[in-house]
Amino acid sequence: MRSPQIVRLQQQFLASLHSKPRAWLLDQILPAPGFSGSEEVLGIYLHRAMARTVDPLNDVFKSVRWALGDASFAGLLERFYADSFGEPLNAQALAVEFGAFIGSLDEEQMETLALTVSTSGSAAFSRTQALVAAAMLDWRTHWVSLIANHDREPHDSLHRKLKHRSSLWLRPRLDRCSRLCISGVDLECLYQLVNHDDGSHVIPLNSEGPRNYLVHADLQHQVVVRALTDTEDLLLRHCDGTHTLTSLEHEASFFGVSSPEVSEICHRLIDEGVITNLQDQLI
Amino acid sequence: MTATRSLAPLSTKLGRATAGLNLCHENAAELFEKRPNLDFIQIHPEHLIQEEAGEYRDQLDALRHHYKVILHGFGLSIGSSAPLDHDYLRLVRDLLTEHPEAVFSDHFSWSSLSKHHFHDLIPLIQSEETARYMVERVDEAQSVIGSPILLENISSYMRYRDSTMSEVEFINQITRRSGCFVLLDVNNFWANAMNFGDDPWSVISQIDVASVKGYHLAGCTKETMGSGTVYIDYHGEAVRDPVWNLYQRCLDYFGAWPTLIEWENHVPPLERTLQEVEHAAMLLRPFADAMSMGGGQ
Repeated sequence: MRSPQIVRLQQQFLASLHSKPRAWLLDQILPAPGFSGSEEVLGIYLHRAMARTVDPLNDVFKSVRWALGDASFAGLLERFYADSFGEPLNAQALAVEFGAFIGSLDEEQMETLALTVSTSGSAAFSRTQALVAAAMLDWRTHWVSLIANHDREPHDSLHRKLKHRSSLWLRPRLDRCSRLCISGVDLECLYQLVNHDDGSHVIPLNSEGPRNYLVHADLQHQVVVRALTDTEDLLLRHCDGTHTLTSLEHEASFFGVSSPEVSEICHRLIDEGVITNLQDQLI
Repeated sequence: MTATRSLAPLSTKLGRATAGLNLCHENAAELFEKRPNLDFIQIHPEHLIQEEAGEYRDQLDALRHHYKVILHGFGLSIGSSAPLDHDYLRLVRDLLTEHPEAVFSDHFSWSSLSKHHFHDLIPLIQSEETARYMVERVDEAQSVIGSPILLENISSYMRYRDSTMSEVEFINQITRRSGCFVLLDVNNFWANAMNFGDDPWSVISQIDVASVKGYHLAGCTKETMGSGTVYIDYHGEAVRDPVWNLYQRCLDYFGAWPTLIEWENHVPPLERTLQEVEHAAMLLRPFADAMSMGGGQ
């Protein structure tokens, strides 16, 4: 059966969540004597619904909060909540929705939002670019923090495989949660500044132009954000399951990188928890 | 209407005179590292959905296989007018199979409507109509899970004009007609009584004795509102002395049942939380002794 009484009560709560509390609901509520009225007690439930929904975003989007400042970030969360279609239970789903919300802001809205953002360095990148870079860094670091380390092949086993002659036909793979990216923001520096709660709140730009970065989780399950050398970047971009070690060494030779150097980089990336699989199956 | 499906009996593999601690993000690392002696820990099935991987999930999986567990949900929203989440209920069923000592509990409340989660336990209108609806929902949940569930009384800062029965009458109606049991949160009853000017024991003592199968204890916070003070169920401090006294009366009246300490906000070092668990264990000890002398559980 359906209970009209329950349906009405819950619809009234829902309607009150994103607009003014409904008169029927306010009349229905008999507050505990310590409250000044039904509006005050209902306000507690509605405020907690909003606060608890968006609360996980404070931890996920740390760089954006750091760059905007707490008050401006809280305002952004309120706008997101007012715009939201639902209140997901799962912080990951919520983070996706918040990322999509930031992405949906038009140029003018982004300009307004980024007014409080400061950048350093002589590069000609805009504040809005810097803010989006911070949001994407937050999303990527959150993503890699969810890696389940226990599913990985032990790294000493990977080293053994790499030493065997047949390793030439193995295809190195990045951990599936690792992220390669290019940015005009010094992501490595930004990550350090945010996590050490640096008081400057200035997003550092790369004065010499965009650089390549890797975001991944190390063997101790800690998030690592670091700039890549050109050789590392070239190699990692080909660790997508389509290149054997032989192929990687061959292509690297056109850039003056020797086979032992490629092998050394692979061993190092295994130790860092970046290469987590040496694929030998067809698919 | 009454529940008609045959269900497995409620698990009795966890001793009755036992005391445990809830597992939460704030205490997981320390529990994981120190592994203190505990009769059981309480885990939230929702965390297995919310945390697909990551450090907390690793700790949760390790700890739920290290300790005996009980399962306590906060997202079933059994009083919601939206359909019950059968995927969630099947997860609970599978967890009960994996942890045969566990029972599953949730709340006499609603917390979501379809995709909209209020992240709070919102009280229901206490009426015959709602009680009838709740019995059907409990029956549906128990049928999927395959065993009886426990429902916990919630803290509430308001009542509804359309309610026609007291909280305890409402609870008794549901447990008698559905076969579910009561997880008695002593602090919630105490805080509600303080907030509405009632005598807590005269409220609690009306609960059907045979329906109580577990206890929750937590600390509530006194806050100033527009017309006075209100006790908010924040789980952010130690259990208050009057609540301990009330718990002792509950033990004498309803008997010993697994007792959980909840402390999830402003969480102190584990050592301090364990003192609360030890306090509960101390009060349970005479019952454990009596049970072992009588050969009972």
